[in-house]
Amino acid sequence: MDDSWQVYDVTLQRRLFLGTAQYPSPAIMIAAVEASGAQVLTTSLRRQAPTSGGGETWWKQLQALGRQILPNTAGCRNAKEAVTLAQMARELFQTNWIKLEITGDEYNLQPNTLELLVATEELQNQGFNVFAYTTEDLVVCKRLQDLGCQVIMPWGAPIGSGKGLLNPYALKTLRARLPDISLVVDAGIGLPSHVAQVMELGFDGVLLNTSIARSDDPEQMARAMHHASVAGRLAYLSGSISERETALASTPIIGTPFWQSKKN
Amino acid sequence: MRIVVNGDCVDVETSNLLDILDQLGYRPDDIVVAHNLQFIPRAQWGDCMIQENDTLDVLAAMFGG
Repeated sequence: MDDSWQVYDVTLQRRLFLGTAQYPSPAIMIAAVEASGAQVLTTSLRRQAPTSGGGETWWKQLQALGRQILPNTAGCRNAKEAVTLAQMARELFQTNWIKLEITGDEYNLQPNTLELLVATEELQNQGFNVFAYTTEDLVVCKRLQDLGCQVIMPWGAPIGSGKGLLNPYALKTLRARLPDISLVVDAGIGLPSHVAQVMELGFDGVLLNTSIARSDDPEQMARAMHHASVAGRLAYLSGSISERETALASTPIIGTPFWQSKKN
Repeated sequence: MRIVVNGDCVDVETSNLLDILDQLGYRPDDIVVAHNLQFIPRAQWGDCMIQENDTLDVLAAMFGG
């Protein structure tokens, strides 16, 4: 079954986006990437000391995998910083894709949606393909869509928390109210069941990092997350049954053995 | 002249950005640069002049989530 989808200028077959941070080693990160089947990998930029060598070995290994790179603006606290970092990312990673992430609170790393809207408008005007990391706020997401953002990434829970979907109602509402835009849940995933839940809700994809990178066996967990994304997606496409308050026998009643109509 | 590179004070002998990066030992292909919080494309490094107390952010690829 062809279940490919268009993400800006790229056609993807897979639904999992994978972060590259926090793995025990670059080799384990590469193994996890391959096990996940992810076609999109997130990266970042950090200050570079002239003598540190640039960490280019892992970067060359990652490039050799031939996956789509999605740089982020993690650590930025306002639109100006994020726009500058996006421009730097475009030159370094040679892509117009940018995961726009602007922190509004240090405690839960909640996105600053006010600055996000400002930066999205500016980056759209500069030809970037913006992936907007945001909260589940419907009005903010509608505004992002109005600005031309084609991929909106509401959080499932705070980054690295592993709590799963804290507000399924709001996420369902987003899917219902924004049926024509790509929605990718980003952050807060802890288990494969969370991934399956996201996909069962009809989201287009899931972005995760910590739950794989910090598990005891990242390669195996990456494989589990991949299978969960496939299972959830297939379930969504299959159309699930509606919940009932009472039982409904699955075995046909007609011809039930030992049953007899009352005599007399 | 004294400038700030990645948050640290540094004494440099030239005001040309390309020469400063070379003096500091950076490999051009691995980095991108912002001057006073403005991105400077690689093609413009040779024309960019730095002044006393200016700031440079020199960044490279890193793992990310």
